[in-house]
Amino acid sequence: MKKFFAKLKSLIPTKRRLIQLYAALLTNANVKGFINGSIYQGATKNACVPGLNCYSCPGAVGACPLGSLQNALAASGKRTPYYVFGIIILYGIILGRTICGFLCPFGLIQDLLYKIKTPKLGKSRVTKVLSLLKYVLLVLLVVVFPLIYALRDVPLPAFCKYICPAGTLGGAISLLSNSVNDGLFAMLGPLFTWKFVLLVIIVVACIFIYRAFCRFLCPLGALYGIFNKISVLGIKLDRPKCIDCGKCIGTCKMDITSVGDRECISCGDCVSVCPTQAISYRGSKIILPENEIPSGASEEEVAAIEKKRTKRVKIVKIVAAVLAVFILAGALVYFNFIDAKPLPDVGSDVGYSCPTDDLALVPDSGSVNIEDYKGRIVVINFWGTWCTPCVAELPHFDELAEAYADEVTVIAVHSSNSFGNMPADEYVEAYYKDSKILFAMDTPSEDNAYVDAYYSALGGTSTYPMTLILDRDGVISFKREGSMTYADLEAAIAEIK
Amino acid sequence: MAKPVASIKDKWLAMPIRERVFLILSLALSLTLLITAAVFIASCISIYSAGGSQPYTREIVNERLSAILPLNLLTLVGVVGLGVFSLFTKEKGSPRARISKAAHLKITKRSLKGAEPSEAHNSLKEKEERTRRIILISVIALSVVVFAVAAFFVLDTRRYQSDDFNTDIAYSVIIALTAALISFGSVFAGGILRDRSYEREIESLRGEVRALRAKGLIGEGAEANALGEGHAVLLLRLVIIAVAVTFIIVGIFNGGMSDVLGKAVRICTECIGLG
Repeated sequence: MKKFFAKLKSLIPTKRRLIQLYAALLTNANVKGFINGSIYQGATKNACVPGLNCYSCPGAVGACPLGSLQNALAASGKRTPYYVFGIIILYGIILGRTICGFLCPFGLIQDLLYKIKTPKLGKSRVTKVLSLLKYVLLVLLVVVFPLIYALRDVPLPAFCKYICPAGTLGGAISLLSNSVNDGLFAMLGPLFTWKFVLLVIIVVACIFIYRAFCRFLCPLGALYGIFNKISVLGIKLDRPKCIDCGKCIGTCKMDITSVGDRECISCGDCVSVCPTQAISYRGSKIILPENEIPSGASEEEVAAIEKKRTKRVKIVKIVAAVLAVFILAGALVYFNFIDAKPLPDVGSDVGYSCPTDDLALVPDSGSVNIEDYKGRIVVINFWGTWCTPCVAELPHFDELAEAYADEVTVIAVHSSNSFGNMPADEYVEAYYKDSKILFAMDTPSEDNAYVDAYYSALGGTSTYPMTLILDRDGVISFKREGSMTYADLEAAIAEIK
Repeated sequence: MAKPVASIKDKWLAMPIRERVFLILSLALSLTLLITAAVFIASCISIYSAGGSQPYTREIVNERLSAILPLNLLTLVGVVGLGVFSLFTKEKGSPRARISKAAHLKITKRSLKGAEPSEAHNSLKEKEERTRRIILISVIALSVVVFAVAAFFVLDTRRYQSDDFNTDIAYSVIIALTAALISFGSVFAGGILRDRSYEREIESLRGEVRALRAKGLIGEGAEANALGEGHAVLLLRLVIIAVAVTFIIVGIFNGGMSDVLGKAVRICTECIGLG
């Protein structure tokens, strides 16, 4: 019975688990996003969260550092990605892989999956060698491919696109679960099939192998691991006390060679098993320095000093806990009630007349208005240079504009996003040479500078590309979120004719 | 004298009934999980293979999920049930200590307590150190060559000019993974050879320690090693933090932060597998 109650006590979440749950909830505080099926579009997405958390997840209130890094590298031809480099270096040097052990939501998911009571595959020489694979993926998918395709002005976040299970789980499945996003089903194809299969394999692997994704595949862990030995927070070994008994390495479920190396996620499992208490958390003395014990102090004096320190530790813990609760409560209230913008009216769908706003043309000065094209079939494509499917499908629209020049007008409306100091139309320049497409620029909406006015008015939420086809009376006869092939366009035009 | 290794049958018979039941149930749960995963994968592939311009619709997905609902429920019951049952089983013993061969050698060296080993050991030690250096250099050289060859193919930008990104990238990934496989294989083999070299040195050193102890020249036990962390690390941290903060500030002014926001407020459809 005693053993049963002891086991029951072990179900109480540890401090690390509580911190993991806290971090997961704080980085996904936009709970209403799961309910209304849309992503958060506020200013906090300027900042990257420390862990792997897809920014297309409805709950995400910050940007993913890995996704941001790939996109920054893909745009490195236009500007050097100082900001993202700076953020990742700062997280790395302060926290190292403590992020993996305490702050990463996907790390939490892996820890919970591992709790399922199945036989487990322990670490071995094979897993140690396999842990090098994440460095190969870091170099290849996160650095090389985005840079190579940047030369073609094609943004390609290769790791996000082909591997990242956090995006599939947090982004795709969360969005598709909501009936509001039924239109997204049209976009599912071979890529989703591949990513879903990979997600299932990774989930199953994490049940049998401790943190399989973290150890073998995560490039973010690989990056942070570079800083692990010198990070401010982490695990440290007091060498004079160490007797090389190996219990720390035996207890650790990661593929460490020594305590605190690049594979260590600072979970602290080794701290309690060290027989000489040689292992501790680095950085604790910044907040709680050791009291100086004067030489010649009596036992009572030492006890009094230690009692004072214990009291100080208690006070710091209480203050930190109260602060943490306030921050989380504040975040939940802010993101779900105070910053809750009403969803745009799905004002224009199939069967509605298209709004007749003037849109600025690029590169020519002047504007374009749908009204001027009554009597012709008009194809409006909303796109962005930072969107690979958008850029990939543009040639199909060009071909359509060429083939049906007598009866179809194609207008490609680029997002108003000014990308910092550079005007967006300068990005578009590379695409409109020798093209029959009319290139126009959207304008920022009044509520939010990062939401496009015309795009929102036509029912766009946050998915690019989006294509509408108007009949000869200016009524929307076709609407698609997602890429279209030339055959799709021809079929849609044929139906309208 | 080495302990005899218990056979699987002996271990099974020595196990209490409750532990045996737990083991059988956990194996059954593993099988159920694998079957559930296989069914999910097969359903996804069959929906996609059914073809058409839009193979996935909510109706089809709901229909398939409903079909596999009993299996999912069974899996869920298994997970929860076994979790509850585990509360009544014995806690596993602590994992055995793992010491690397290098650490083992260090511990054994400490047992010498400053006494000089024999010429025979010193010459073996030099030979083994040379062997380990050769292994290290060979593994590094092979890895460098293999990755250099792979890089030659992967970094050839002429190969990425088509519109079929997936095929171009898949081809490069296969080349890179092949290189990684060869390199990892060499690291694996090198690790085994290196450990064997350490074992030979440890064995020789143990012989030395036994001989010296028999002559009464050294006592029992080992001395602790004293190593400390320098102020250089603190300086390095400060420099890196300063660089990071500078990068962030420069990035805010050159528009990098706006780029992050611009991308993060839109659904990255290809990032989440939507085309």
